[in-house]
Amino acid sequence: MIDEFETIPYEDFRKIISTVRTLRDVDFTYFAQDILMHRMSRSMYMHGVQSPDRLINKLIADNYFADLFLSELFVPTTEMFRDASMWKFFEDTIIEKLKNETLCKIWVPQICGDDELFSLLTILHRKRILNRCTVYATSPVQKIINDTKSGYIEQKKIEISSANFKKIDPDADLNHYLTKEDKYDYFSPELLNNVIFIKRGIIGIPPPDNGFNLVLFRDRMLYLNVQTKKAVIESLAKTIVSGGFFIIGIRENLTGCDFRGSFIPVSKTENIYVKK
Amino acid sequence: MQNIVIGGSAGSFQTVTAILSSIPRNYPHAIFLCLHRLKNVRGGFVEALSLKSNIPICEPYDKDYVMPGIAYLAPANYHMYVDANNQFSLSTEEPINHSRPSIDVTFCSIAKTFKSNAIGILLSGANKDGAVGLKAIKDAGGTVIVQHPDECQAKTMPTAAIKITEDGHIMFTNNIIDYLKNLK
Repeated sequence: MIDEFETIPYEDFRKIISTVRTLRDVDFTYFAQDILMHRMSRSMYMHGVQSPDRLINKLIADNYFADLFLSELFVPTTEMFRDASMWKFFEDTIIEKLKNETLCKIWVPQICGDDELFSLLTILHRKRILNRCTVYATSPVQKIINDTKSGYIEQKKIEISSANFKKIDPDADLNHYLTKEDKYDYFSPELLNNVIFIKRGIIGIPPPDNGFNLVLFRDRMLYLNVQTKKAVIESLAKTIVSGGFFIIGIRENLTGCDFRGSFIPVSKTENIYVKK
Repeated sequence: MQNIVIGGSAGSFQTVTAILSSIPRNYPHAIFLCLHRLKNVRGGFVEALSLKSNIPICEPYDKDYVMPGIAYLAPANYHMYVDANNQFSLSTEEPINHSRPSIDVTFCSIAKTFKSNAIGILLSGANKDGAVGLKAIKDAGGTVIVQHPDECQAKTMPTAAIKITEDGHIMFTNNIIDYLKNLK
């Protein structure tokens, strides 16, 4: 029986990546290898798959499992308003600048979860600019897009997300943005009115291809290997307008990326940049 | 260079500070600290550990390189891996043993990357996180040390580790310090 921390032999690891690419056209050679291997062994452990060979057979034979496995390789976001100080800064400073735009184009690449997307939408709604924004949310996995579109939020996430929200504003109440249906909690559908979901590869840029006023890309580079990180960042950076914002995770950095000179930190602590 | 990874939870802070204040400056080995901590409190821990430490302490950024003579503290709310290129890999994956950072994650990663050049030390703690990782270090040819349960404020973590690793070293804090000071 494989356990959660099992090291998958490299040859088998490559075979699994190749199978996923053939079946679902998602290329995991872009990913940070150690984390990806942990995601694979974790998924195998959770589903009782006892060897890489059995995994490959199951992926080929079982479409539902293949979709599930693929979605589990991506790391979901943890909670809404993670790093509340970043969101507080975002609300107080960045939103004020975005308010000057007649129409604001925002891109959230590689959604998974997606607490980041709903945190953003909640803040935009709260500051009354959501109706002037078009938010593009992309993922290479249709199941992840469908799950996000449903607006479902786990009960256990509501408590921590609400607590984070109150760090931004003690009077804020996440329940204003939630609805209940058959005992389950969902985000209000109106939050998604201006969101365009698009299936795109890891480094696939959605239409309109450029002109974004904000790219929210927090804690997503963690899962890319060094070479891909550089390519992705440079690709994303080109899509942002002058004066537009680029936000990455608080433990991520832009080391090694050639374009650094064209971005100025707005907040070094919160890892928010503005394009010159 | 040896790669020393120290895991701990409730009751481990004093032992960690005792270790960091005893090892010499210009220590030739890298130290990785994976300590359970409040997930929403970003600052303060590095500063608190640095007060008495003889070597610099930092929370790594994703893909930073590992250097000798530095103690790296797993950042709050991230798992910490070290990959084959000697670079940190941080992750927001699900908590393991209710913990992020999880000691098992870091120990298993260190075991895989550094094999016989890994030294795992598990201190006081109130859950079983770290036991599986310590066994991984042992299975990879590394050295494993468990703080003596009689000295621990919370014995669950060291007791679980002793059970699973069977013939690891069981030491009091002073012996752990002596071992690390004499490490070539």
